[in-house]
Amino acid sequence: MSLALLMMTVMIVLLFLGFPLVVTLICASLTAFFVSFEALPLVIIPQQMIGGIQPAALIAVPMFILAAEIMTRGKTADSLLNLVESFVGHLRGGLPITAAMSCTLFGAISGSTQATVVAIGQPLRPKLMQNGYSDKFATALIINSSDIALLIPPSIGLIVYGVVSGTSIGDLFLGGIGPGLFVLACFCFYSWIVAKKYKVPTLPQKNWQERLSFLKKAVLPLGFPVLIIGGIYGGFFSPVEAAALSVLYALILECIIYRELHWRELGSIAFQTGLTTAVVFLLVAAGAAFSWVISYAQLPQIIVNESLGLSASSSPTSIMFTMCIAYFVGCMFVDPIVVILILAPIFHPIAVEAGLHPVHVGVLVTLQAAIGSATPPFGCDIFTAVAIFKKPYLEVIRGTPPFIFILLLVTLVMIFVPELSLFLL
Amino acid sequence: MALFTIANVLCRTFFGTSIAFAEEISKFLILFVTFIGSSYAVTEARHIRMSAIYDMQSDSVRKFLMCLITLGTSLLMAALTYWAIDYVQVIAKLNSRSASLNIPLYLVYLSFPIGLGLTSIKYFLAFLKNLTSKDIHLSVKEKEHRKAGAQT
Repeated sequence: MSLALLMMTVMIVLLFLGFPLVVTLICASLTAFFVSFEALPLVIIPQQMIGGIQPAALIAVPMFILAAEIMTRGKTADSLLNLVESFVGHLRGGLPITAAMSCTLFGAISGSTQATVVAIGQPLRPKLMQNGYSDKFATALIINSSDIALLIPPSIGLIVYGVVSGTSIGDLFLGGIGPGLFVLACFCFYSWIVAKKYKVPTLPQKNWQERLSFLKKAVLPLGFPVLIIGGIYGGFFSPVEAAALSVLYALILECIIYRELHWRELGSIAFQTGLTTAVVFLLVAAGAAFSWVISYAQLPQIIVNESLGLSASSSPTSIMFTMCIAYFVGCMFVDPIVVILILAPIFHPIAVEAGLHPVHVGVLVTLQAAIGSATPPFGCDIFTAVAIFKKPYLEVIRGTPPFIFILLLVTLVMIFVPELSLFLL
Repeated sequence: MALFTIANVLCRTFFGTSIAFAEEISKFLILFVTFIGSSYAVTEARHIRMSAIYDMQSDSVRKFLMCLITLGTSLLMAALTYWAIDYVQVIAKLNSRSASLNIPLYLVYLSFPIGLGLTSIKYFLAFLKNLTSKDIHLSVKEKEHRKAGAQT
């Protein structure tokens, strides 16, 4: 127990001093080596780090990042936006509903929260404000809707969770769809209430001719989710192959069909992808070393049994509540991927032992990670928004409370209705 | 590194999983990209850190912290490089080879000490830059942007 406390202290101190997250993870692991198991050779750390990034499933991550990067530079986002707007724009609250739906669709294509904020949020936020929605509502809506990208496949968070916990990534992808759409529905409902309350004028209704022309333009990007989800659901290919195909698809779409992207730009896109990949994977590697250390010291059992008073025989509901709180609080402070790396080896075994479905657990904690990363004080999406919209921190977070409330409601529903995430399996 | 990523994608897409070595190549490329890329990420100041509390401090405190961070990270990376060299030597002695391409694994794993060694050097350079100049530098290339506008 004292070892756990010591490791936590090391992590928190280094974290608050502003050290890179890799350093905090490795220093915490080293502490364990120096304090408790002096007899072991330190060679284990590099061994675990290399092992940590060798699972074949992880190859999907850089490829999904690459596909997202290609599509953020192209015009996929625009054609999706136009399509959604032409169908729902005239409804009450149509514009925010458009925003939420486009974020979900783009998330289903790119799998990246940040890319969604950039691609959808940037063009749509000024439009929302011109049409009479308040700044705080528009910003909060975009941040929180982009988080749906974390639940809708392809999601990097779900891939990392699958690798760390040994759950099937294809199943996790399918499990994320239900809750993702449910969150979307709740956001749409909230937008409708807001629009009604502030009597925001609606947009003129588009006729079917216009709709069809937008649909024609967007039909190719829409092929993406169909390709990925359909392919994995039908068992035609693995998540890794789906990722490779989506890169190819993105290339063909943006370079050959839309001609928005010149082949020469691909160099810088691949370079950015490489950088992002390196940052994420170094964390995954350090996380692997860390999770080896804590399982060698049997910390998960100690923490979960003694400090939290949970065991395989305690009620699944209380296990789920504890897990949710841990992930939620963790993501309020650091990047969701790091939280998943640290907490999955601690909680996953006991949750499965208690009879919970691994996919249910995985999707539930990913939802918590999504909520936490949009929650003050330090949720990382808030900082993305601060950087992209060039707004002060306090103004960005003013509108978030109602959204967090909605998301917590969704969490409750998910805890008590596991079918929401399991119905597609 | 850009080429690595593209090659990675191409070999997955065009060869598929049916060819065993494609997967092996992808795995090796992932190692290269991760470890060599992590040293690039230092230059571009892309490594994720929780800077919220750091950002609240005054200039002099931040300067001190940044020196501490760059030096500390550099030392840790140097230590990791050292252990990684140990590990690579063990692998070289065992003479393990990859399953389908028959490449000696230690050659592939060498990217780990090389990448982390470079990362360590980059952080050390950033530390020196912080010591020798007045401004606060996240890396040799990236100056801290927040206060830059206010000063000029």
